[in-house]
Amino acid sequence: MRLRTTLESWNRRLHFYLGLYFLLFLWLFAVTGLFLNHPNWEFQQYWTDRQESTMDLPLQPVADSDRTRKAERVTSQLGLRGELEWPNAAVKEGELKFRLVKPGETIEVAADFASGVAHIKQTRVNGWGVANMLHTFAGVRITDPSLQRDWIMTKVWSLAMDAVAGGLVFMVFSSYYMWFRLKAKWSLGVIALGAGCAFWGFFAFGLQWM
Amino acid sequence: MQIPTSLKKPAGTQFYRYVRDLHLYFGLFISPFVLTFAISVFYLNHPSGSVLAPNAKDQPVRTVDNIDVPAEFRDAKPAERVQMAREVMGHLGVTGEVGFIRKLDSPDRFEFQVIKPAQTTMIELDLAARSATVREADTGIPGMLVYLHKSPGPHNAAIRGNWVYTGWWRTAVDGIVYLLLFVSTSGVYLWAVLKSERRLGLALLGAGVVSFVAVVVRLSRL
Repeated sequence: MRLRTTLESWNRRLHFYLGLYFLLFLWLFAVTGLFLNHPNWEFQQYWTDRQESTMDLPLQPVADSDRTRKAERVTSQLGLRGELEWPNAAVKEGELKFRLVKPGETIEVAADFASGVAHIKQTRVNGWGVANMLHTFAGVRITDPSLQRDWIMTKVWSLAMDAVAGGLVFMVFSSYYMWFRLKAKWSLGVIALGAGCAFWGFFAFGLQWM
Repeated sequence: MQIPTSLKKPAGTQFYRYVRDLHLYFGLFISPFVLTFAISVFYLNHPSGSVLAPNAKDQPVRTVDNIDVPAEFRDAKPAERVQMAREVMGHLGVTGEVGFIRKLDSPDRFEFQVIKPAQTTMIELDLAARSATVREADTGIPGMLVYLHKSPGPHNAAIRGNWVYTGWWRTAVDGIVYLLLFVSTSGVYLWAVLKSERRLGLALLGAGVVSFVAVVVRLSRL
């Protein structure tokens, strides 16, 4: 009895403690999810307002057969930061092309070791762009298993995403338990949960049979 | 007759009860969707192989002949080409959202992807031979969760929503987001009225805000 009371008390507390801690993260992912599903909404257009700039920076030779390590050394040499990506661009002998991405900024680097110059193209977007990119910025792609996270901040943000997701899962199950303990709320609760499950089930399973 | 003050329920108490009940019932209603989005994050953040390919169970490839496709398909605009592709899908008995259409190595050969929860189909169309090769892959529960999370999404906006149920899902998810915002905001209110939990709650809320701002600022511009 005492154990159950303690369990219920902590279950309830953790439900709102987690909710309070992750509140801003949750609002960000919820609202940007809305934006990503409506890319034509005028007020959140950011690509047309992007700022592009180019520059050439001196480049010291980098000897490394591994292109990822080579790119990391070039990045460090040039004082740049971001998650490493490989564009599908043709590369000449003695050249290395890669991209550094972070929410709000993309830096394309064309390192020409023969001439000792790195051609940089920087693209910056506004706050809407930053917010949208935060939603999807994970450093990996489900369609490209070879991509790995290279930048420490990508790993930190990815960990934050995992934590928010884990927190939400806990909060849902803790809410089921709290509701279960409220007999007076069972009838309407069953209707609400049943309706939600039916609605969800139509999309999750019903569409497979359409 | 005036109601004695002792029998009047303070408006705040009634308001609190309404908010608490709505928090509960809306929360229960959206919970399957919240679980879908949350659990799919683990697949998206930690793709082992791919839910779309190596883990997928491929069905036998089938080729269908005598497929009639208008000649305009080659040079049609994206939205028109999708409509023609959907007619081809009808002949092939394939349903779902056309994800993308791309040209292959010859002007008469195209490939397009059709997706729906737990299934991804690649159709290779040969306009000259009037044939279509269909490769279906069952992506299972992980594929279903990932599809629901990412659909409809911002990519290929010109053709997105070409399957009527994608539009339905978009509308449904909009509603879920609004309800989630209500549930989270009402949750803050329900906590705020608990005097005994205010101090620790404020500390956690503050810690969350500081964490969020610190990570976002560090991530986006520095």
